[in-house]
Amino acid sequence: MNRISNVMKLHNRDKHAWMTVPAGILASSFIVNLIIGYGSGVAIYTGGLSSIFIYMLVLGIIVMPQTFPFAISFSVRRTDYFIGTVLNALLSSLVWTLALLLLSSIEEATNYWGVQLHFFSLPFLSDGNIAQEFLTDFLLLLTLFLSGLVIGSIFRKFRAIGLFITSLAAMVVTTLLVVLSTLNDWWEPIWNWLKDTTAFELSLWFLPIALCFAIISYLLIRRSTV
Amino acid sequence: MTNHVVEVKQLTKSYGKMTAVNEVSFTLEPDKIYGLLGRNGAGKTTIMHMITAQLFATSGELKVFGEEPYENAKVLSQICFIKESLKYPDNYMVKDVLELSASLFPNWDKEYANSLVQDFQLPLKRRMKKLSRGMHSSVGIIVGLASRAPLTIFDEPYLGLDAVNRALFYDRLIEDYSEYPRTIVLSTHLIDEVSRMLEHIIVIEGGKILINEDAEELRGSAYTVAGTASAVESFIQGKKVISREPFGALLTAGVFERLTDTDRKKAAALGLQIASVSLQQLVVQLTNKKLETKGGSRS
Repeated sequence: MNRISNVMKLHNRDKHAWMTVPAGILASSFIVNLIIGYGSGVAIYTGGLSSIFIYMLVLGIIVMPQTFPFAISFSVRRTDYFIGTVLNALLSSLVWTLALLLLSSIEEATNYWGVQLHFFSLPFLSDGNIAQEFLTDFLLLLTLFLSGLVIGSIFRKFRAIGLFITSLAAMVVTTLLVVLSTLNDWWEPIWNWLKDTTAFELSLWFLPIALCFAIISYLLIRRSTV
Repeated sequence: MTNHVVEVKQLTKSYGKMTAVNEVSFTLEPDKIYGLLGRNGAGKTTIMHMITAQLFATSGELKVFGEEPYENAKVLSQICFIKESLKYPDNYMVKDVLELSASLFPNWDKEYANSLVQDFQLPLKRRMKKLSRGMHSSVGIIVGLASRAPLTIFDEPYLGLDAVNRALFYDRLIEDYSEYPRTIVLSTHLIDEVSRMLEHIIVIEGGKILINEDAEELRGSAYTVAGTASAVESFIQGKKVISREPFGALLTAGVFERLTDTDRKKAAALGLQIASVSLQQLVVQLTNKKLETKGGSRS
């Protein structure tokens, strides 16, 4: 346990990557929207919240190149590195989820910051009860981090060529699925399903995906070298 | 049960058709200072990466403290490997590296680390990325010394470090080693600077072990002989010649053999000058040209 907490320490010493930068991005996006809200006088529904979600993906991508060679050089086991990294992401997603929920309720309580700015509390995403909203945000943040981690791990193990082949494979699969959907007229049922599914239900689908990503990164990290 | 710190048998690492390390076997004993020497690309760093489980061997056997090092926390926690190319997280400050090392290395001595920071005049709150090359190297050296790991490996640890700080490193290393003996592996190009510290020398060339010998033995195992070309030629007949430097009618030849009394007398009779070879010259000559065995035949 001590070894894993050491890896978490290793990550948390980098406060910029895990705290200040995402907070700064979110804050600046919010402030810009708030100013626009004051100026325009109409209700604004903004996608500025997506910045924090995108940042988690980016963090997942950069965490491997930033810390893996360092950790391994400083006698950290690969397994401990993986567990510590994922636990830290779990913790970070938890903190951000709580912050987003808090800000979302402040937004509602202040009548959307007094200027009808819908930044943290958005239709669809914030539908459902508080537990559902919590899980939606949490699973989304975590899954995005883990998908970044998979990208970082593929790069670590197979370098640029591996990443290139993986992206190529992903594109081929997507193209095939699109072609199949068009040929078989699957688009309408797909749209209908999406329309009828809540954000919470959708986010539950992230659970198996996140698990797959975690397993893949673990297997890759176990075989990665400096 | 042997008490070798490192035991390597037929260790091989190949990348496709390129063999970086070729069936290397050696052991490292506890509480000794080893010099791992050789030219760039000889395979030194690759070997050290495999010992520390950072790279995987293609074949061969590898035991560190009697166990496989891969994913072995017990073994890994006893190793500190400082290399020139060490990359730190971009946002890390000097104190982040040191404070983290305190939790990662069980034998870490905080006070000693602080005194080393003073010695090397490191700014604790400066980001690693903003450090000069020499300061960057000092951080690695401090970690390597203060971690007091039973197996401490320095791989070209002092890029950009000036002569004063290098001397400081050697002094501190010797001082701390005599107080807290441990196995130290020094890999370097500045052989002359470290030669007085080294107790055992391993020379790697082309992925293979060229020399694996006690440092004292090795120092006495070669000499140079200088004089007129014909006299030198007659003297080196039948000897292992490792170098040959003609200068006009004169010739200086390096002989890889222990100097016997008969040879000394013979050289004196021929009017030849005998000089000792420094470890650095020896390694340079051995790795520069493959050993020309037996006799004065010109290459």
